[in-house]
Amino acid sequence: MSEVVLELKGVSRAFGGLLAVDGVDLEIERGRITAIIGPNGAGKTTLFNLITGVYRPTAGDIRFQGKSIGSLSPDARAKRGIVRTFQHVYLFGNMSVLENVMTGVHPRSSYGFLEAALRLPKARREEEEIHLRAMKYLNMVGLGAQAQQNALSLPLGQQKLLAIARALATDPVLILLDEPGAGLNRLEKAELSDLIRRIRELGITVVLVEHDMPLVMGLAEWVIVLDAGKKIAEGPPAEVQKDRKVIAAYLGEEEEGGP
Amino acid sequence: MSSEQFVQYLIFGIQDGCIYALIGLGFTIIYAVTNIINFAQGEFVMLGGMLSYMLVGGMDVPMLPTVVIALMVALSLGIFFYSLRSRRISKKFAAVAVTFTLGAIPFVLFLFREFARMEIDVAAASILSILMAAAIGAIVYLLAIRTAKRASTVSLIIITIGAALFLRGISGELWGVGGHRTPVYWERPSLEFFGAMVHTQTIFIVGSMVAVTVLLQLFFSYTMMGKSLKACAVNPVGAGLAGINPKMMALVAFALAAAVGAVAGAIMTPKTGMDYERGFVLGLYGFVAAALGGFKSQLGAVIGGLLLGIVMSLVIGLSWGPFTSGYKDVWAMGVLLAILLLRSSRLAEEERIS
Amino acid sequence: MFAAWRKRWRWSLAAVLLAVGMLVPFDWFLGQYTHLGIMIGLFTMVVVGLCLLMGYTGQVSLGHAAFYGVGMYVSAILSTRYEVNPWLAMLVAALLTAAMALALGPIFRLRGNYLALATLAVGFIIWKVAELQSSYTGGPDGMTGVPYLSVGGFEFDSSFRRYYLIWGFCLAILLISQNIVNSRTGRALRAIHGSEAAAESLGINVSRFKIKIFVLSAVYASLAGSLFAHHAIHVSPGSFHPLVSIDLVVMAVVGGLASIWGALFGTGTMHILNDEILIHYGKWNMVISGLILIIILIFTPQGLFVALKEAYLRDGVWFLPKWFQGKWRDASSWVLLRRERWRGHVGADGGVRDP
Repeated sequence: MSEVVLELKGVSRAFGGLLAVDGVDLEIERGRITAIIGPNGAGKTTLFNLITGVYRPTAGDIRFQGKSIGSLSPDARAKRGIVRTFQHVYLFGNMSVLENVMTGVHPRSSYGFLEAALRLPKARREEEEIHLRAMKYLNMVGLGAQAQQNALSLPLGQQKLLAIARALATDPVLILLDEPGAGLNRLEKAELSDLIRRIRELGITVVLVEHDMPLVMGLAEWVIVLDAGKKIAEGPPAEVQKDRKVIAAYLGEEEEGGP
Repeated sequence: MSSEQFVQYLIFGIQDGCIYALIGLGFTIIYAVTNIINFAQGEFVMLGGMLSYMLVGGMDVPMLPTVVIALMVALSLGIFFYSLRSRRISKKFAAVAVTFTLGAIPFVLFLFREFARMEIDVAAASILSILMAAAIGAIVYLLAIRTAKRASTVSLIIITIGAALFLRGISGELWGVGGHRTPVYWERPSLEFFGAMVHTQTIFIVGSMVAVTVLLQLFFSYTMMGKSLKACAVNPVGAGLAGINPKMMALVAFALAAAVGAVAGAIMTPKTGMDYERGFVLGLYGFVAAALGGFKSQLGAVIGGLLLGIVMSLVIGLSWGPFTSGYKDVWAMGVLLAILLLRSSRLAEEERIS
Repeated sequence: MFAAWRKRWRWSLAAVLLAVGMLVPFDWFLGQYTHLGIMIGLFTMVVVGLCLLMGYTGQVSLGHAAFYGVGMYVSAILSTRYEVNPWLAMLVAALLTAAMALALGPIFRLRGNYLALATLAVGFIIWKVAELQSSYTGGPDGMTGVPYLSVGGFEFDSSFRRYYLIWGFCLAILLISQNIVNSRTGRALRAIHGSEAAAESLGINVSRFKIKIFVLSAVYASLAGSLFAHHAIHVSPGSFHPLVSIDLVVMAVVGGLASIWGALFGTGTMHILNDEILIHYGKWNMVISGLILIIILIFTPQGLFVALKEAYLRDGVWFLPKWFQGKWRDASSWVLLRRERWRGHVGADGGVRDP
C-alpha cells in the first residue's frame, strides 16, 4: 500500500540567473525512509527549503497529502505536519534541553496570551501535558537525564539528537533531516540510524539528506539522486549505487565513509 | 495662487529640497556601505552649521565640554593606533603612539579654543567646519561603532542614537541653547526670477547640492576609494575577499557622510540659522528623502529630497485645510510612514530568502 | 562560590525592596519622593513592554512615548470633555493604542530595523498633532481638569493613594509579563529570539508573535498614560515628546533587553539620575545618556541589569581586576571552609564527615 505523502511536480527555484533546482519531479511514499543524495551544490538543501516553505518555487507545484502547499508559510506547513532539522542544528541557546523540546510541542498545544498572563487552569493543565510529551520524546532519543541543562552545553552529537526530539514533538507526518550524520562519530551514527528506524516505526515518513554513503545505503529504502538541480536517478539503494550516471556525478568527489 | 507665488514657493521648495537631498545623501552613504541606520546624521548637519558659526565669530568656549571633546579625540586616536598593531610591534612605535594619544588631549584642547577665538571669513569657515565634521564622523565610528564589534542591528541603531544624544548635549553645552546665524556668503540684494525673489544664499545652496552630488558620483565611479566603497555596498563579503578592508570603508563612509551633512548645515545656517536641537528634525527629513530613494540609492535620495522639498512647499503654499505650515513636519513623517508600510507589503515576499 | 547562598539572598533582597517601596509615601519616611516614585512606577510599565519588544523581536521602538501619550490624552479628553467614566476611558484608550500598534504590524515582516524609523515617525506625528490641534487637545499647553479615579466611593485624590494604585498596576503588569514569559507564548518568543528559522520550522508564526508583543507593549504604555492623566490632572504634549521615547530606550537598555525586573531597575536608576541629579547640570544629562547607551551596548549588550544579575549569580567578581579576583576567591574559600568546619561538616584535618 503505497500512499504518496509528498509530491513535487516540475519544481524549479532560480536565484537570479542560477537555477538551483531545475524541474524536479519526485514522490515520497508514506512510512518509508527516503534519502536524497548528490554532490555538493546539487540543490539538496534548496530542495528542503522549498519543501518546508523557506523558499517559494519559481515554477512547479508541491503537494502534501494531496493538497497544494506552495503558498503556505513555513509555520503553516509545520502545523500541517512537515517538520525539519537543520544542518547547523539551530538550537534555542537561551533555553534548557527540555524547554527546547517543549517548544516543539507548540503547534499541538493551544493556550494563548490571556490564559498565560493570568495563569488560568487551562494553561496550567496544558503546561503539564506539554511537559510530559516533551519528556517522552527526550527519553526516546536518550537525553532524559540532561533535561535541565542548557541546550548548548551538550556535545554536538547530543545536540543533533535534541534537534530531532524537538522536531518529533510537533507530531509530524513527514520529517526532513538535513545531514543528521554530519560531525558524528561511528558510534553516534549507528545510534542515529537506530533512532531513525524507530521514528519510522512510529509511522512518520523520513526524508534525509546525507553525504555518508554507508549510512544512507544501510538506512534508506529509497534513494533519490540530484545533480546540478536535476534528478538524475532514483530507486532502491543497491540499484542507485550501480547507476552509471550517479557514479559519473560523484566522480572526483571525496566520498565519506570507507569501503 | 498667482504665477509669481507659484514660482516663489517652487524656489523655496527647491532650496529646502537641496538641503534634504544632502542630508539624505549622507544617510544613504552610510546605510549602503554598512547597513547601519545612522541616527546621528542630523547632528552632523547641525555641527556643520554650529562649527562654521564658531569659526566665523570669535568666542570663548567653556572648558568642560572642550575637555570632553579632547578626550574623545584622544580616545579615538588611541583606538586607531591600537587597531594598527601587529604581532611584532616595536617599543618605539608603541611609545610614539601613546605619546601622540596622550599629547592629543592638551593639543586638541588648545587647538579647539584657538579655533573658537578665530574670526575668519564665512566661506573658509564653512570649509573648515566640513573638515572638522568629517573628523567627528570618523571619531564617532571609531569610538562607538567599531568598538561594538559584532553588535546586533538593534544595538547599532541604539548606539548611533547614543552618539546623537552625546553630540547634541555637547553642542548645547558648548554653544548654548540659543539659535545662531552666520553671515551670508554673498552680500547683495535678492535677485529677481520670473516674478519671485531669489536670495543669494539660495543660489549657493542649490549650487552646493549639485556640486556635491556630481563630485560624489565621480568619486564613486572613478576613484579607487570610491569604487571600493561601492563594492562594499553591493557585496561586503566579496569586497572583503578582494582585499578591501570593511572597517576602513566604514570609517570613510562615516567621515564622508558627516562631511556631506556638514555641507548642508554650513550652507543653510546663513539663511535659516541653526541651534543645537535642529539636528533631530533635519535628520528626520533626511530619512524621508532617503526612503523616497529606496534607502540605498544616492541619486534616489537626491531626487527624493528635491521632490519632498518642492511638494511640501507647494502644498503648504496652497494652505488648504490641514496642509498648513505647522503641519509640514507631520506630513513629511506621514510620507515616511506610508513608504515603510507600502514597502512592507511589497518587499515581504522578496525578503523571504533567509 | 556561595552560589546557592547568593540565590537565596535574591529573595531577601526583593522582600526588603518591597518593604521599602511600600513605605515610601509616608511623610516620616520618604514622603517627598512620592511623586518620583509614582513616575518611576508609570515609566516602568512602559519600559517593561519596551524591554520585551527589544529582547524578543530584536527591533526597537523609538516612538513608544506616543502610545503613552495616546493613553494620556484619550483618557483626558474622554473623561473631561465627554464625561466618560475614567475606567471606561482607560479601556477605550488601550483599545485605540492596540489598533495603532496592529496597524504598524506589517513592518515586522521587513528585514532590518525599519520599525525604528516607523515608530520614530509615529511618535513625532502624535506629538506634533497634539501640539497643533488646539481645539481638541489644548495645544502646547495641554489641558487640565482631568478627574481623579475612584472605585466605589473611594477616590484616589491624593498622591499617597495614587502611589499604591499605580504601583499595584505596575506590579500586576510585571507579574503578568513574567507569567507570559514562562508560558508557551514565552517559549515561542524565546525561540524566536534564539533562532527565527528554527522557530518557524516548529510552527511558530514569527511575525504574528512579534506583532503581539508590540501590541502588548503599546497597551502597557497606554495604561500608564491613562494613569498619569488621572494623577497629574494636567496633561501636555511635552510628556510624550520624541525625546521622551529616547529616554525610554535608555531606561530599557540599562534594564536589559528581555528582562522584566530589569525594566524596574533601569527606569528607577535613570529616573533618579536624570530627574534628581543631572537636572541641575544643563545639557549634560543628554551627554551622559548618550554615553550610557553607547557604553552599555558595547560592553554588555544584553543590558546592564542582566549583566549584573548574571555576574552576581555566577561568580560575582567579573568586574574586579584580574589580579584581585584570585585573592577574592582565596578569601571566599577560606570563609567557606571556616563555616563548614564550624558546622562540623569538615574536620580539623580537612576531611569531610557527618556532624
